[in-house]
Amino acid sequence: MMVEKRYSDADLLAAIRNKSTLDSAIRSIYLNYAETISSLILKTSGTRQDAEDVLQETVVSFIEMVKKNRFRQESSIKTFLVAIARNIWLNELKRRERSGFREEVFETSRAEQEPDVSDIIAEREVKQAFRNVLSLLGDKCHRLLTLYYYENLSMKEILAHLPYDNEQVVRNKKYKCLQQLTGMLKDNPLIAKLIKAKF
Amino acid sequence: MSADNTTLLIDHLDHTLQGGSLPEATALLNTDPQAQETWQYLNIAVDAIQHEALHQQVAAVRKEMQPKRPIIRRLGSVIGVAAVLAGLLGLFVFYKFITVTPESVYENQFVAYELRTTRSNAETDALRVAYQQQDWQQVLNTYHLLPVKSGEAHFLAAIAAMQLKKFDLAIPKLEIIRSDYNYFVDEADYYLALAWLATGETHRAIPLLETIRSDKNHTYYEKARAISALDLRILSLK
Repeated sequence: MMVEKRYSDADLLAAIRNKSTLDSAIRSIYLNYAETISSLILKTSGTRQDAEDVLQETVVSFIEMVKKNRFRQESSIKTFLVAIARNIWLNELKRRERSGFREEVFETSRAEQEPDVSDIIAEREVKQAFRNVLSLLGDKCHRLLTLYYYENLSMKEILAHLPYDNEQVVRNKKYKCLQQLTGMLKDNPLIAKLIKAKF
Repeated sequence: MSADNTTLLIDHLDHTLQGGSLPEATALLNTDPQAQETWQYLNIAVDAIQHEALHQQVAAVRKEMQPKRPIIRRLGSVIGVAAVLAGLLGLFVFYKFITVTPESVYENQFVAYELRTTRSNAETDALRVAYQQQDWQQVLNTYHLLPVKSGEAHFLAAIAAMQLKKFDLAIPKLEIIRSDYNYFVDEADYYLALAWLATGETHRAIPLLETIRSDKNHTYYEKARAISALDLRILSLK
């Protein structure tokens, strides 16, 4: 059985920023904080599936904040994660129109000085829209764009993962896929509204 | 916006612009609102890709971390079912071991030979009449009085002796047929094996039954196959 490294808060942040240690960091977050977050959801009418979903969204949001240097370390990682999870769950209950439980969640596990996670909650809908749009993109395009923009592989390295003849074909395909995706994002009303608001 | 400008912006996004292209892209973004909007969408597209990929990575790590309990539980169920089946099989084998005896196999397999009208001659007529009347003692008496004993006479006397449970009389007659005659040999094979079973001589009966079971042309092939291999194995272990 794999013995997971136990990170200090500072080490965990460094592990999240390093591509080669990200898996280990994710495991560490789950091992150390999953129980606290799950019990919060389960205590306030959530199911095990709700707890899993909130937990995953919390971990993703936290990692994104760290990677974009938006986590200012004004609280411990645990306090911050619980705040994200509580707000995601509150938001979810609101969406499900279950106000009775919202009061309960609001008071449960609330830190005296709760970190501000309003950005994360505000972006939640947009992130969901991203996922909806991407689910409509073809598998090959999705894979190609992921290899390039997430795995940071070169055209030559991508050739080993996808059945294209040469680097130029990969390059051309990537242009087309990216343009196709931007076209689909333009067609999404929520995302289009977000972009228009910036101009 | 032109395709060339879109390509220029994508190259700018990918940090692959060289020479004069970089200032050209910067100038485009500073002056063209349409280019600025396209630039926003390109960045959002990359955000979307990265967000989804991170989701998948987190989900994959989570899945990998899930305790293998469901599999173990499933494996546990399979082992449980296997254990129950093994237990039932064990009970069945135990039951067979207790109940299968040379005598029980003999009782199940022994069927009196049905006399056919052929193969007759005057000397054996009296013996045949007694046999058809199932007067087993009379068959033996007549057999002893015969001056010349045919293979059929030996055989009918052997079956009559088996009907009377006089296996010590039946066995030598059946052995004579197998060694000295060319007919009634298949019949003698089968009934001799049964007679040996009846007298507990399984070490002689089983090889003979196995010989019959392996010969499809043997008259008693089907009958010998009717004895299960498990029963034979149990008999050989006893």
